Amino acid sequence: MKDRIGLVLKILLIVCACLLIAALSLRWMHFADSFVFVTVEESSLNAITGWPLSMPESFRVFIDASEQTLILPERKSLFGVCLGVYYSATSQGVPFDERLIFSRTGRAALDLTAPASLVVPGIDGEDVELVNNLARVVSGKLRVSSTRRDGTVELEYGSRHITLKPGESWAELLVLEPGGPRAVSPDEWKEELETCFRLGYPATRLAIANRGLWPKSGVKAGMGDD
Amino acid sequence: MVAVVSSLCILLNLASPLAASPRPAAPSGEHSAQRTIPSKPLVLIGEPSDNDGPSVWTRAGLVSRLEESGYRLGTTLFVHTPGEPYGDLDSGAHSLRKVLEQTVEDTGCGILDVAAYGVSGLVLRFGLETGIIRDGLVDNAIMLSTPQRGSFLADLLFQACTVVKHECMFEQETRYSRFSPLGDVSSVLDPAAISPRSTGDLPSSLGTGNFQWESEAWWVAKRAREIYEPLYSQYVQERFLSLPYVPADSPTQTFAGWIKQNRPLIWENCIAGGTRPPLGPSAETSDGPPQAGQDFTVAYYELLAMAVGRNQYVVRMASSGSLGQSLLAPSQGPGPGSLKDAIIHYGLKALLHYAKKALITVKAEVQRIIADRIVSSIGYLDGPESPFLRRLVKEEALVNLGTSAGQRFYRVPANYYLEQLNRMASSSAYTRKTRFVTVTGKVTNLLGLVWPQVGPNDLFCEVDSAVPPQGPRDVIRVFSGFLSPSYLNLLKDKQVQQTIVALLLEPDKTARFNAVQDMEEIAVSSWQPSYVAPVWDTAGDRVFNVSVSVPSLPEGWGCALWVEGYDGERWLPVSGWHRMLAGGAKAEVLLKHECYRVGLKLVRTGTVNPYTPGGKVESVFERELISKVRVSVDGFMGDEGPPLQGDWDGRESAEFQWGQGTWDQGALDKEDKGIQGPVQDVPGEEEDIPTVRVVYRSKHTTLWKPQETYHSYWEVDFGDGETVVIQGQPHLEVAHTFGPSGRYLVRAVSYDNHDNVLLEKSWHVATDEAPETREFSCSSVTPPEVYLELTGPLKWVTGKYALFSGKAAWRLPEGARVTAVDFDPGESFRVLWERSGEFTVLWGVRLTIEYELEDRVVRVKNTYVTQRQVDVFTPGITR
Repeated sequence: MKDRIGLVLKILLIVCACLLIAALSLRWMHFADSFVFVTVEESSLNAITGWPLSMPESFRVFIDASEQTLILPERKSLFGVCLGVYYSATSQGVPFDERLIFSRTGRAALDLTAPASLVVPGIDGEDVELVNNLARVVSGKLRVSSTRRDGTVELEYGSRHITLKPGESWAELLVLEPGGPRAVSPDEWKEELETCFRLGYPATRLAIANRGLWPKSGVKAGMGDD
Repeated sequence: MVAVVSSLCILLNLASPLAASPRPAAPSGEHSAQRTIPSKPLVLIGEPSDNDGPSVWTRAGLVSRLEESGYRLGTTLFVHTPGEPYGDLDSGAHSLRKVLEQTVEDTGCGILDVAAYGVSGLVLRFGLETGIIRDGLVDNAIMLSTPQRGSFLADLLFQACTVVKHECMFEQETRYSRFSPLGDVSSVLDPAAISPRSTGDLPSSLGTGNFQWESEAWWVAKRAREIYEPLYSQYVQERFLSLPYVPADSPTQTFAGWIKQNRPLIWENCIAGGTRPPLGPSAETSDGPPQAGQDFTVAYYELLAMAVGRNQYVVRMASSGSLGQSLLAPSQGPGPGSLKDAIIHYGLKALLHYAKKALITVKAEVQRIIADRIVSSIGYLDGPESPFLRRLVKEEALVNLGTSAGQRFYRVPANYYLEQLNRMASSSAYTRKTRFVTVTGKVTNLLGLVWPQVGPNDLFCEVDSAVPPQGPRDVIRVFSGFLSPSYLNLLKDKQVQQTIVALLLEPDKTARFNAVQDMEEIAVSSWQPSYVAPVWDTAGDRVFNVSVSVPSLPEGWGCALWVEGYDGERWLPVSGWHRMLAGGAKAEVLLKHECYRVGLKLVRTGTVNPYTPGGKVESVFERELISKVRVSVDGFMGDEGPPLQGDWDGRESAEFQWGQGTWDQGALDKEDKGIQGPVQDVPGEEEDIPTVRVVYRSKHTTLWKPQETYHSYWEVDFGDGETVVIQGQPHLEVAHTFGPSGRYLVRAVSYDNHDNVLLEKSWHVATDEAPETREFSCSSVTPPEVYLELTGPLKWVTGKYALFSGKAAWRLPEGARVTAVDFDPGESFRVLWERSGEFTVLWGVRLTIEYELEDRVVRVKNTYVTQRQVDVFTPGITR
């Protein structure tokens, strides 16, 4: 009896493993030549305390959505990749953080609450931190919980659930007032932003865009490679 | 790859007009023989330094290496390290001239070799180009890691110093209002005042006789305050903070890219059109020597103003707000309950307010001190306002737009002074007597990760920036490594040391001599000259006709051909006997005397540091480019006449005519009736013909797709609110009536057949009191007529190579010329089928065509493809 149960369990285990491999293989076959590309832009009003001298103007990753081209500093293996998430953080147009995640499972996580850093040398060569993390107003972590074959992505941001089909986008402008964070209405964003400027309240816009299925052939290495 | 280097026998003819002094009897191969004893003194010049220790040459071990090679310190080898900064290029050149003249006096030798390191190389070349140092005094000028076209580091430093200077000015101007209890810094000017139709009117040129930095500072401050700071605030709001969010095509678009896209008229007027200097003495001609004060172009000042505007916006935002606003701002938690609490509460708020204001002062001061320290740590600079720092800014700046793959960078002329110097240098490159030797290093471009507009470099200047305008005899050497040799350790590199010694003691090893008889393909390089000379093996009146056929060359390259004569001591270019040949061109020279030879070298005719769309910035000099040039020498008994004759134009134009539709039409009518052409199992090794192996019918012999770019329609904006779209009409002629008393900017944009902008043209119109009708005309790109012919078998067998050859002819519209022709898989190619069936052989031709359209040149690349059906059989086997 025990042998039979053991045999059944073994068979079940093998079947499960086969199913998992089959599911992954199917996914990888489906995403053999393309992947879903999502951009996440965090832009703060006053999260940076000064413009660093000789500031690099550019991000390390170059993105051209019209040509669906992605140029990376170095080569990456895209075998099995079905999702790409590009995250950038700026304040007053000054970039201070950038990440690119390629996922083979269709899931990815970005901890937006983790402190960002941009260090420049001070007068005696000491490190000076330019990012004021308290002025970044975000709701929590951002997770891509699933990626569908049609390119739709499901996201969880804080306590919210967001579904974005290819070409769709979502954005939120949060202001940190003495009473706590508050989302700004799209109709009044200019006036509210003016108030934030005047009163020195931190504000952050988080914008997520599902850029659709991008060809893997459009991902190239460039820039600094020799 | 390199043609066999044969020794050249040159017999000196004393009757030769060039042979000024007798030359020792030269055995065969004399030019490749090594001279072991230096015949000229060598002066080593380091960068200015106040360090009294051993020179950079000694520390690197090069002095000992040269001593091992026969040089004697103080007799034939001199080391000079300037103790003071040069100040400027001309003052530096005068001080170097004194050093060189002193060496001449000490040694009694009228000709010297000089090796100059870093910026001293630029000073030396400035002296040679401008005549401060006599032409002919220096035989070999070896310049190591020299920023001949400027350095990106100097560019970054100058920009940082400018930003700091303006931040300090801003801090001083706003100090009172920031600390006043009721005051506040003024807000950013309203960006709405700069409409999308604004051309960003430039201030009128100051035209001061003597350059003053205050004028420049005023210019930059005005542009930053009035144009770029307001636009930057709009950029930040629209691009980063607006709701609803509209995803940008390129999330990595820069401020400059945003301006180009959203304020095209400002870009066109101030950046694209800002090629002249706005300050300094007015220059009527662009051919003269560089003038102090004409430092930078308008475009570069605009870029500086952009950087200052961005910084000023951030600083203004950080320092805005009055004391009243800070005190009255709502705060978290309940308000103060007692007077004591209120004093503490509001006192803390006031302290915080003033701390924020004081931080602006501290930041500006700290940045100024840092910038001063960086500048003063560089031996050849005497301060942030040093003219020398200005001279080192790059001649051309690549602006990172980040807009799209096709518009990632934009090339802007920046350093007008250096540009003038190099323009002058280009025109005299074929007549100067000094040979310029460029030695530089290239390390892994880690800086390109941070600044993508920086091309391959040695951590100080880019490889292409280290190469001056090339003369025929000039030599380039680039040494690569992962981290070395960089600018700092170039001299320590053993290969570099060996190269310097070889260049000095075996100068002719750098040239390839070809004893050409009949016809030969010789390797022509972009790094060094190649020489062609007939073998003068018979005495008498023998004359040689040297015919040179240049193959198709990569885009942006030409082949320089010149004649050198021997003056009894050295070979020098013969004045007036030089020519630039494009790919496919042909030229002939008649040599009637053995003291002449023909030189060939690949020369860059396009821009340096080209960039691939969406990719990285490349270098054209980092690798040696070699092309095989067909040379034939026909000897015959000569007659009286000059010792040198050339047919520069006749043959060359005939070759170009071939490409304009004058081929044998009969070739098109030929029809292959069966298995024809050469049958080969294995192609001959001597032929460099590409081969395509075909298994499946889907295999294409070329992957090129037909593509043409030509004018499709015009969009004309008359500047008075009326816009028209005109389909077709590559030669636009349009009239419009303007209202009275107005100033209008008329803009015509030509779009191509892919809906991309081909060119833009603008006119300024000012009308008097009555309405006026004006006519405008301009031209755009008209497609050429191109005919392709692919010849080869119609029937073939498997397992054998079939030879196909193609021919292309074209008729171009007026003002257009073909600058490059590329073929895929090749002009001739072989196909090997591995199975039978019906196959299609495709052949592609890509023409690079330059259209000269009034004031600009538009370059397009068109691809044409033709095909030929072939029945392939499997041959039967008979036992």
